[in-house]
Amino acid sequence: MADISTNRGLAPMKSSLLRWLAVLVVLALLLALPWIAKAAGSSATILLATRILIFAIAAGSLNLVLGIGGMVSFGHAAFFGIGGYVVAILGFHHADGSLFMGLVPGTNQLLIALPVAVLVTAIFAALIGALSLRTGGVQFIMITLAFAQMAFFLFSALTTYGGEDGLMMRRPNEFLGLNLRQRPTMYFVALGAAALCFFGFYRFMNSSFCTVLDGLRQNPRRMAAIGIAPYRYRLLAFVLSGAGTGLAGALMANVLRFTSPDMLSWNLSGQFMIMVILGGVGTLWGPLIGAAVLLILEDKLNGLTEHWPLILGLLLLVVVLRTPGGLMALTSQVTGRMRK
Amino acid sequence: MSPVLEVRGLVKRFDGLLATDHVDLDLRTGEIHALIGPNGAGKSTLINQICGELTHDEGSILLEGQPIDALTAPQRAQHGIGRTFQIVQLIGEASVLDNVALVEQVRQGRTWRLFDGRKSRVGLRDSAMERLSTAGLADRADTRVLDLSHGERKQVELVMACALRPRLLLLDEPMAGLGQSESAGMVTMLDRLRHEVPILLIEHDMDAVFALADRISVLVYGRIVATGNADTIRNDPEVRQAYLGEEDAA
Repeated sequence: MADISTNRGLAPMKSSLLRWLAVLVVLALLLALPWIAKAAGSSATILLATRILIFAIAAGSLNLVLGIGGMVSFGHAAFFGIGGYVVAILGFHHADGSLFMGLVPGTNQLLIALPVAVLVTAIFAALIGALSLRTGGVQFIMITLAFAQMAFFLFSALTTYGGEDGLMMRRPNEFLGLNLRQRPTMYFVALGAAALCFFGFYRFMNSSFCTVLDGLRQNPRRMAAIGIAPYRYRLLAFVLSGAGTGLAGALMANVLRFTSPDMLSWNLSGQFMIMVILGGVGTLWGPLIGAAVLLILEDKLNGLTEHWPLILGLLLLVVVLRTPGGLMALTSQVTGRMRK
Repeated sequence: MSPVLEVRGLVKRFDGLLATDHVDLDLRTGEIHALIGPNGAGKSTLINQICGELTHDEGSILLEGQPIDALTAPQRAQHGIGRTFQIVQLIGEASVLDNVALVEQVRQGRTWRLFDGRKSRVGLRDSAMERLSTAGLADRADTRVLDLSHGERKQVELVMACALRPRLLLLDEPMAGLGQSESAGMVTMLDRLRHEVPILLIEHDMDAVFALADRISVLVYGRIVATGNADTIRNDPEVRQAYLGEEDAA
């Protein structure tokens, strides 16, 4: 008995120490990446890494509702696109000195554009969530998809802002006198944002609110019996999730200097879901791993064959069938075995 | 003294079928009131109306004299109606301790803190641990609920219901599926509980019912056919015919 209890006390401490060590090593590698890529002579790697970080923010945000809340949102691309369009539209009005809807001046300041994008997507998420969360199950999936499609067609119809062709930004946002056109600079901005977001996800997952949200996913009947009505909890989670996805979209608009209705397409919503499921539903680092694996594979396989989605599909099938916890579960299985 | 819970003229229809047929029922401080009846008599339906999972068509439910008809199930739980389910309802992937700590957390209204850490909930876990020790479940505290035996889950659910510090408990077949020694343990637990909180008990185990209940109501086809103490119920002709008669014949 004594052995068991001391083991129980030590093992989590040791493993959490190891985990934080791993995080530090990865962070150091991520910080050094631009120089590594430069030495290897591939500046495309920096762009790929930037995209991975941004998609990881979006997938991590989706994970809050999909993984923890158990709400299968098939419409998160809408928030990604709205976040992007906020940056693009503000940039558009700044460039020609006009007012948005005759009221709001544009801006090219990242420190204004990003918070505005987050705020606007949060409001949209509140509206969409307030209506969608009155349903559940398959209905919820379909209604979030429907709202995203509405947003898609709305932006496709906005000819002022490029309609179906999308909206180009001549210059990316300005941020503390840095040139965001330079790939390493933009990369570090994305890295900073991702680090902040994942720290936020980490704190969120250990919060009191999260235990309630998690309980609601697992057993809403039990939660009702102890006095918890699900709606408002799920709505707050949905709004936070939408806002995080909006931030990712706003960053992506700066990377691409281009925003189009494609950013709101249902394919992208599906891609976010695949990233979460591939990496590990409900885990902290799963969405980052999922985003990295999916985008790197897409990048590499795309060079090999045009039928890369087939290979990707097979991989997803294997992961879903063989490791129900996603790649995160696979790594912890492997490391767990190594430790023994 | 007015009863803790009062059910007046309660009616529930499912497509013309009278599942609850003008039921009057009360629960007084310090008592265990057992609700018995054959399968399909509408016992669970009645409990689910009291706790708010089902809405009733007619009649009224009063908690300490106040009507609670308009309240939702979570609101009724907040007002002090604690319950267990016929099929155990727990947070399966969480540990036993986390399940009980969650109730403490909800009772204290700590549900909206978005970025507090695990450390802020240490106090909740301590009081949850105390409850588990009292119930003799301390050594199972770190076990995941999914890995518990059926009997242990029933016990954990009862501990959770009590952690809500309810004004009354609705227990839907707490002995169902338990072994003999587990049943005896549950009877001891409930016997101790009656001094803390009045209990409305649905149970098929007649030994347990006769051992525990101060009063017994018999529900047949949604209607209460008799209410009284154990002796009254044993000797009631209508009850013998409708319910206990089967046992006499056997």
